[in-house]
Amino acid sequence: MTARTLAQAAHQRFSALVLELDADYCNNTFGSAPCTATGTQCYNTFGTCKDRANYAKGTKTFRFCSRGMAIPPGETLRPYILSHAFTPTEIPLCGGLAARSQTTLTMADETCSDIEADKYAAIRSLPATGTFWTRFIARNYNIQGRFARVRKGYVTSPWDWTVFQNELYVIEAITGPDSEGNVQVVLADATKTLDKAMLPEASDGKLQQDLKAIENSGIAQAGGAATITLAAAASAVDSYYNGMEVYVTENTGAGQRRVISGYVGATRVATVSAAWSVVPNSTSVYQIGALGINVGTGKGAQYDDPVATGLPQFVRIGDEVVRYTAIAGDVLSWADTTSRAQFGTIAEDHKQGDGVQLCFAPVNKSVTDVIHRLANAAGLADAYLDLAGLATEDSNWLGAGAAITACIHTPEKASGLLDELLAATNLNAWWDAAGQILRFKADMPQNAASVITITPEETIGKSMQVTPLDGLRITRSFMSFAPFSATENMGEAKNFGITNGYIDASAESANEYNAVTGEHKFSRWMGAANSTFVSSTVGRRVNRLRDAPFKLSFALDPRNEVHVGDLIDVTSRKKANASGAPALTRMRVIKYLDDRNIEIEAISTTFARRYGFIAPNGYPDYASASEAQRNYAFIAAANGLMSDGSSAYFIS
Amino acid sequence: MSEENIDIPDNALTRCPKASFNMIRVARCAACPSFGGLADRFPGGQAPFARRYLVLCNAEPVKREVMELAEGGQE
Repeated sequence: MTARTLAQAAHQRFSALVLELDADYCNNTFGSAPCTATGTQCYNTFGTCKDRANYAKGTKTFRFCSRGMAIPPGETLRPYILSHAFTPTEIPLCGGLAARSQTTLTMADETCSDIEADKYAAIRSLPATGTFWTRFIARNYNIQGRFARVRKGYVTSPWDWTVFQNELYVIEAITGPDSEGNVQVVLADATKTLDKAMLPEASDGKLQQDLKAIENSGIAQAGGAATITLAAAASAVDSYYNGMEVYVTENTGAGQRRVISGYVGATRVATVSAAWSVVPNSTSVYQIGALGINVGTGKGAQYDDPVATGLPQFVRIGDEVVRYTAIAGDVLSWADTTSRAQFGTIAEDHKQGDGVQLCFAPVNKSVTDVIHRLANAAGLADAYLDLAGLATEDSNWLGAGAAITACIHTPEKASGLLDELLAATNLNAWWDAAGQILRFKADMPQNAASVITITPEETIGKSMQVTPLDGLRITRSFMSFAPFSATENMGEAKNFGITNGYIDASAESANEYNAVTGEHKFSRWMGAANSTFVSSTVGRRVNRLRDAPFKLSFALDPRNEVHVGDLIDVTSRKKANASGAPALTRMRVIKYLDDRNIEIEAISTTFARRYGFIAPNGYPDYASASEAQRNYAFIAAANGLMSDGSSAYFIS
Repeated sequence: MSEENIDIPDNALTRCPKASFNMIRVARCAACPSFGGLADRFPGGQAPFARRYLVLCNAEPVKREVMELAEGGQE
């Protein structure tokens, strides 16, 4: 047993709460190189810095504990925590981003010597006045978004920090002092950064000249080995079409594209950069299009470099999405005019001054890749992402069939985008504050290696409550996807090309629910290539929700340590089988509040069909397999039943 | 609304959704299964072909406007 589990199991426990705030703190010393500041000393924060050019951002951790709590010897903890309120995260059903948790701590404010916070307290001509928090707020106006840790544990003798569980949060706000003189420290889980980040980032480049869908088109007057005589209506200005592409769309020479390297306005003769394979003639229909845009002085840096990133990059101009393949300074360019009108949009005429917005557009990328890129771009570094867990879920349930090609062309909240993608793929994501990581799990049958068992004896008092979630029950599910155009309204079914559905006729029959209960979702993340995957997804949703899931709420003693996202096997007299015996149900913990006792909400994970992973080598036959081994799949008899008459496994 | 009895000039071009919106001759549309006929914007009028007619195209739920080309072609 660990020191923590021993402390949790102790007959007499004194719970302890510690808050650690990571404030920015300059590593320099006032007036010493490289700091060139003079005069009255700063407080080593950016807000008070007198030499911002040499400001060297570091971190100083301020620690606080509950009022009246024993303080470990030799350590500085301010006993300012008067009360706390936790709003825990809650995992949604059938995919999505969990509700963000929030912790609010009410802190006392007091006068103090300032020796801890002020490096120069001893040499100042006057001692600090005021109180700790009023000074802290004045010096750290920019504290929002910095990390904070809430450490929950027990007072032990001797003191032992290993009995504490450390939860990582982001500082949302420090408000007050209120009329009582108290300060509120509001902490949010790290996914809150996804609420603040917008993707793609807004870009404000503008066309420096008109960009037409087609600069000129017509029927050629003649052709030469490396020339084409444009229609009489073409520009009379020399070099007018230089650098643009001429594309023969019909008749002699059709399908050839060349870059115009020279143009004589008087004769309408355009010289192309490489000789024609088939020389156009007076029947050839051609069109000319630009191969680049200038987005304005100094604006090029806002656009991702397709070469440096190794990713296809796109911009939206008006309602048209254009792929660019190179960027040089402020000029975005593309190799040929097939880069125009991407993602089902239509090439249009654009005016000088029209905005050029960078897009977030993965092309044939795995769900893992897209989530990874989305989270990184929104400010969640790899250290805070359970990428291995995500890759496992992707491999088990999504795979190549779910590879994403989609275009987000206007800045949107990153959390909304992630939630939408998760919901379309039946993935759940939640912030595991104790693990300090964003976790992912498919809302699918799980072959957990070890599942915690909760028996009636372990729940506290009369805390067990059963809540059927009838409102979530469905008998059919449809998803419309593969949008005609990325820039159409994604809230209307008519803008999607394909709709796949799954109907459970048995559930809708007179002998069962005798009613149709359906859902219809739209997904811009799924394309025509995802059709098979979407069919699986809607089928899985119906299998998951054809019978109403139910929620159990109960309280546990802290020694039964479970975490949000864990699978648990629960038996309770309040959830009985037909014979009246307590039923064993596998649940997922969707909400967890550790506040002296642990308050749990868990949701059933039952699927209408029997799913199982392929059993490893060496497993016995079904008849002699244990219950745990039967979480793996066995081949059914020809009659579709297992040897004990139970239903066969379902391969998905 | 019908293409019958309408003489489609050989130099009339339109952008075709099935050809990535590249230019094709309107005369080719008649053989396309998505062709929905020509819409006459000025029935009985004397407007030039490109001003008078729209290509009704079922490949996209929009009406495609026709461009007529003058001698040698023009936009």
